[in-house]
Amino acid sequence: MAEVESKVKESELSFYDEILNTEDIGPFIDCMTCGKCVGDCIAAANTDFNFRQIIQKILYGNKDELINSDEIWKCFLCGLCTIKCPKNIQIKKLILILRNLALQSGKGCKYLKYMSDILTSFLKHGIITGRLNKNLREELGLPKEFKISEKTMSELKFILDETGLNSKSKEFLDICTREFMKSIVEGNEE
Amino acid sequence: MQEQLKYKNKYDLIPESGEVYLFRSCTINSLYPGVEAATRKSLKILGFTILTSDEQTCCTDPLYYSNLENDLQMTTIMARNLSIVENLHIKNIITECNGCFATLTHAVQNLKKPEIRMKVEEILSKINYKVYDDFTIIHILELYYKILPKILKYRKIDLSGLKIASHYGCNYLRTHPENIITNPLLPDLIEKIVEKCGGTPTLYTERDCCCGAGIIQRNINPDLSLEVSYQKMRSLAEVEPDLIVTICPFCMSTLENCQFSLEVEKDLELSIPVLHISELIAIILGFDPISDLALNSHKINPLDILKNLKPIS
Repeated sequence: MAEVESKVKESELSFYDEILNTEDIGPFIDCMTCGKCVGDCIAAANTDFNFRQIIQKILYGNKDELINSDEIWKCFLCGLCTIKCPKNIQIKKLILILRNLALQSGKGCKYLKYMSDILTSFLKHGIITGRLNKNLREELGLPKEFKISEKTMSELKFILDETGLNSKSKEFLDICTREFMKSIVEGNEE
Repeated sequence: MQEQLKYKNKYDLIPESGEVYLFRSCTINSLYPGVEAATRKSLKILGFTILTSDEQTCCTDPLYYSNLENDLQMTTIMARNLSIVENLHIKNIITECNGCFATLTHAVQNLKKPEIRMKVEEILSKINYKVYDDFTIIHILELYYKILPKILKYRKIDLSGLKIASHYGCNYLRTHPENIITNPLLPDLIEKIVEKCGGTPTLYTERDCCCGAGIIQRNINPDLSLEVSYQKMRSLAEVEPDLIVTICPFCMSTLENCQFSLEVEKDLELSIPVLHISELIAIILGFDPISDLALNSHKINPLDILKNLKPIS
């Protein structure tokens, strides 16, 4: 372990610490590069996604390279690697943490633009939903829609404000709108 | 037998009748209302009373696994929902969706951690909710498995002659393997139900493989997503099943939709109907596929295959 640690560049130790301090993801410094995580990985089978290399990049402190890359956005979060890892490293969680860092730096937002409708629907209605087939629901003897009472919505809004989800979501939606406007302007210039 | 001992703790907690809370799923509500009808009608026959609440909000799984929501946010939203269930004096929560199953399990686990629990308590106390973490989160598949003898007792239709392939979905098998009652690397719950009901469980190489949705991959890397669906469906095609049975509405929609894309993009002509386990159980119990379950609203119509089924002699 000491040997691996010495590999980590002194000046960039913070990236490793940053991840280690975020959440309990197991002893990922103990990774013995056995490759079980890559062998069964559907993303690895079809792209250059390679979790063994991602761990190495974390240990060597290549933060910018990692969170700016497309790589971390190719994982299917299927969890096969996590369940097979002999060292019990929470690989799926680690990917989510890396994606979080990418979002915080503003780099990741472009990938999640499509989520803006889903997010807006949740903030407005308290549910994430597509187009309801109201007639079919009625024919089957079900209530016409997934009703959410006014009291519930006001409580949900309170939680969204208190936990910061409201402001975080608005920030994200703003970025999406800006990106969208930019793409229109660029499209016009072409 | 050994398998059952290993998962005994949770298996024992699953009720065989009585009141249960049905956690409402957004995908089933909007895309597959027939699944909800199947669950309600089947559980009624099998001796359960289903309770739901208009005060329940979405589980927010799509936000959590797309990094748009953190643990505190997800857990607080869910703790409020759990408190509503507690106020109905119910401890057993049933889900029809793998997303709800994963977020509910995760929230209950988070609420057992003092540091996050304290924060949630502080927020919820301001809107007069208490925090509870003593629930059994049960996937509807697990419930059907536990009451299989009762299903066999009320069985009206024989599945003989049907080759059925299963798809469990990643969020059930591998997100919280400590909260499921089967081996996550070799699940057999659907297979056992199918076999006991007269059908032929059909295994295939890529049974563990993701449906291709990958939570966000269908949207951000559509080509990669279709490639994974291709890998899965090719393997399914080899064993020529009559039906695919799944336990997650999100996988269900992906497995249906990908067959249309694969025909255009990869020249793979398939037309394998996809059913939710609740729909299969409702058929076994003798409900009408059209008027009771609206199975004709599926993108790939299963009626042709189901019309050959015979009543129990």
